[in-house]
Amino acid sequence: MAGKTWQIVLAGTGGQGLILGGVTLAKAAVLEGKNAVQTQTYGIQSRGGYSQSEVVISEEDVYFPKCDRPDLVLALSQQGYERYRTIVADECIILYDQDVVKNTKRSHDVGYPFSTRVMDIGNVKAINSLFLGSVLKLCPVVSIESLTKVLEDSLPAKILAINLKALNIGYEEIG
Amino acid sequence: MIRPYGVQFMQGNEACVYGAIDAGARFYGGYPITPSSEIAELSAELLPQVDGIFLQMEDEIGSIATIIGASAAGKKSYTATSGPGFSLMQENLGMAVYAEVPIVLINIQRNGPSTALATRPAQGDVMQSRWGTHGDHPIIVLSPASVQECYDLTVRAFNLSEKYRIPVILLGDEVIGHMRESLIIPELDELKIINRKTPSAPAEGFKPYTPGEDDIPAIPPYGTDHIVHISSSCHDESGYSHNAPQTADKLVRRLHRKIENNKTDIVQVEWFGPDDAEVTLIAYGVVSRAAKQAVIDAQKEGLSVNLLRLITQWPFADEQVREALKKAKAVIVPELNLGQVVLEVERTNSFKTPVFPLSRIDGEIILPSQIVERIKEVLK
Amino acid sequence: MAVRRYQDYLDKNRLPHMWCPGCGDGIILRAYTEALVELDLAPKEVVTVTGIGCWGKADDYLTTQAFHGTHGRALAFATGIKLANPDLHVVTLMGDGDAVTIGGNHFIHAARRNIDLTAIVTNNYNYGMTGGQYSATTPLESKTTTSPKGTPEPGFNVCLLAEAAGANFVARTTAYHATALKNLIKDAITHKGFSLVEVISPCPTYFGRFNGNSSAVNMFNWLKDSAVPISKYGKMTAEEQAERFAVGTLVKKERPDFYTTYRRIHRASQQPKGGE
Repeated sequence: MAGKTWQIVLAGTGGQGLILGGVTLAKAAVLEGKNAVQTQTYGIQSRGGYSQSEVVISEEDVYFPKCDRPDLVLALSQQGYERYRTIVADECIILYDQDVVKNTKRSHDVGYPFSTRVMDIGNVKAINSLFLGSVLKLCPVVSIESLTKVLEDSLPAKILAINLKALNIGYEEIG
Repeated sequence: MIRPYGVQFMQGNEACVYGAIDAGARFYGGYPITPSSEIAELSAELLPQVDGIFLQMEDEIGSIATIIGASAAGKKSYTATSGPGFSLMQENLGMAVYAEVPIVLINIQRNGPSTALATRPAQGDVMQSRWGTHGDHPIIVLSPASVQECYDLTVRAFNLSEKYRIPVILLGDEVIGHMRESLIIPELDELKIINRKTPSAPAEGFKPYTPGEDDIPAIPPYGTDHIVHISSSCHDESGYSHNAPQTADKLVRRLHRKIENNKTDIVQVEWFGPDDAEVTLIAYGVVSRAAKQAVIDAQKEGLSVNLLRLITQWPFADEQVREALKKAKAVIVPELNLGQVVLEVERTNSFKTPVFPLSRIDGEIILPSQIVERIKEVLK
Repeated sequence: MAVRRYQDYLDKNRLPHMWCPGCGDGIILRAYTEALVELDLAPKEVVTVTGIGCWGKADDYLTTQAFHGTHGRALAFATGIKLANPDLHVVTLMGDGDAVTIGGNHFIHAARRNIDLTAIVTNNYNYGMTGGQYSATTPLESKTTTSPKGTPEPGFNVCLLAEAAGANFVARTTAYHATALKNLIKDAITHKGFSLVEVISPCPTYFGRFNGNSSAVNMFNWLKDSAVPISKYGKMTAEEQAERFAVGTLVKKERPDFYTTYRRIHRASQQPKGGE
């Protein structure tokens, strides 16, 4: 889809790798020669507290750096879900952690058990690779190859394999 | 230090540090404060690698004082701060203006007043950056709107500071400071770097504050054969304190003249959108990015809108703003404060062009849709 | 070797100085310039950093490089000057207001960092230039223009403060002891790290007058009688000590200064690591 500007919001709790996830996604877009802007909203807590990361990706110039019309919102906390539930367009997908987020009501909501699946995978810190895989399946803003390349370039060898595994699980298991 | 160049992807605050070091800065003195702390952190990592000094001071008063001292001793110096810290720096900012010591001060604006929403963006320091220190004084303030400009304008801030011997403020905001996007870092030899001029007069009987024809004195750093006397008190060309009324008058007028007479060199703006439009937006910093999107969105709805983006915040772009006021049927000034630049736009308005503010002070940024809405209201 | 006289460090066109008759500042300025003569430091090798107040005007008369900054910040300016060019000899001249009242924070941190510079603090127990108000060294219950019935605050012990904060060299003397003062300034400049010379000095115009001692001669006699060499002071009873103060070199340590430590840490981290 040439000319399309994608807006992806990653919302949840500080410490869930939302900012790193956004940066990884943006870097993959830059690798593909696209324009990407990543911003964040955070509170005064270093750990915990509401946190969100926003990524805008386009083949055109990106002017407004924030997501005012998101195509996809990842909600890893109830607060993240509630914040966006009423303000996003009908066609916006909210991808939520069904282990955590309750009372979902929208037609374009997609649930996935991020919390339990990341435990199965064996490293909670791989959650950002897991959700990036799912995000990519629903919103093909960059290729999974580009994302893999960014992970290969940025992650230490000892945690790379588990992150690539999480990325692929997240990608494959979303319907 | 491994110097990045070519296409890079980084944060605005980080780009400021690379810009500073490429401009030749070798001394940082600062006190950490959200949302500028990444500038301190990266400076702490990189400056020792280029034989520079990183110093975490006890407060912001000491921070600006120590970089003024370091600059007087010959090192290009900078600090970074935000809201409350910027307030604390005001007295010595005036000292640097008055004693003509080049420094660069990066202020990543956050919501205020006081501690307020410490992690949220604002543009509430526009007037403080102009008038924050006491007494009549000139100042140069630049306002980046992208990660690329965080780099480019930091280099330019040092160049202007060195050339005119005046503190230059890089007035960013939380979004621009923390935003990550691509930028192109040039090869070092592609960069134009300006260094302060050195005296041609002999050391014997040297008067460091003797201005050239350009009103700028050639003050050497401490440590040469030339004796330098720097004073926060009213001083004559020797640099020693001198309290005659005509000395006070002459000095402050010269300080203003050296900036006012060079506005064509200092003032930078960007026009965006059609040359002629019914409505002109005047914006800066992060809001100018919403304004660009608004220009595009408004065009799709058949509205005639363009944007004048202020890259140099101070001295004010009187001439360019007048041009905008002369051509447009209405001017809208969106900003993250209750109306600061809009006051300057009104000051320059000799055409009775309607000027409308658009304010937001809740820690969120102005959306393109809000600007389009405002355009429609104005055109009604 | 250039033979200099103390007059070479003073600009005679800018004299006479502005200080009141009976003030100690002129004596301290002479001791400073004589110390520079004996250390054979050229005016261009020395940066004199001053603050605001009577003693802060000292740079007006000096031919060294000079930086006359804002009130209380002399040590912060001086820190930048020294670290930007460690070859310079940086000497800050501060009063009790500059050093330990408005500038108290910079004072303890410059001492803690152990910046290699010298602080000559003239302590006359009040703000002379602005009309004799109390400072953070004014003794408890002393009368000043802002404590007409006596100040309810006790004063700092400047030397103890510097010692506790980590200064490498701490000395005290008075404006009466001109030769000792010159020698202590020499020692302070020569000693690496943060060096303090506190000089108790008379202000007959304000502090003395408000506290029953408006005669300069009496004030100098009071300095002579109150100053006790540190060796002797230590053997006094608490009662005897209360009326007096110790003079001489109080602290002399060899803790590495900031710049030396900074360079050592960063040189070490830049050593290429084996196997990489």
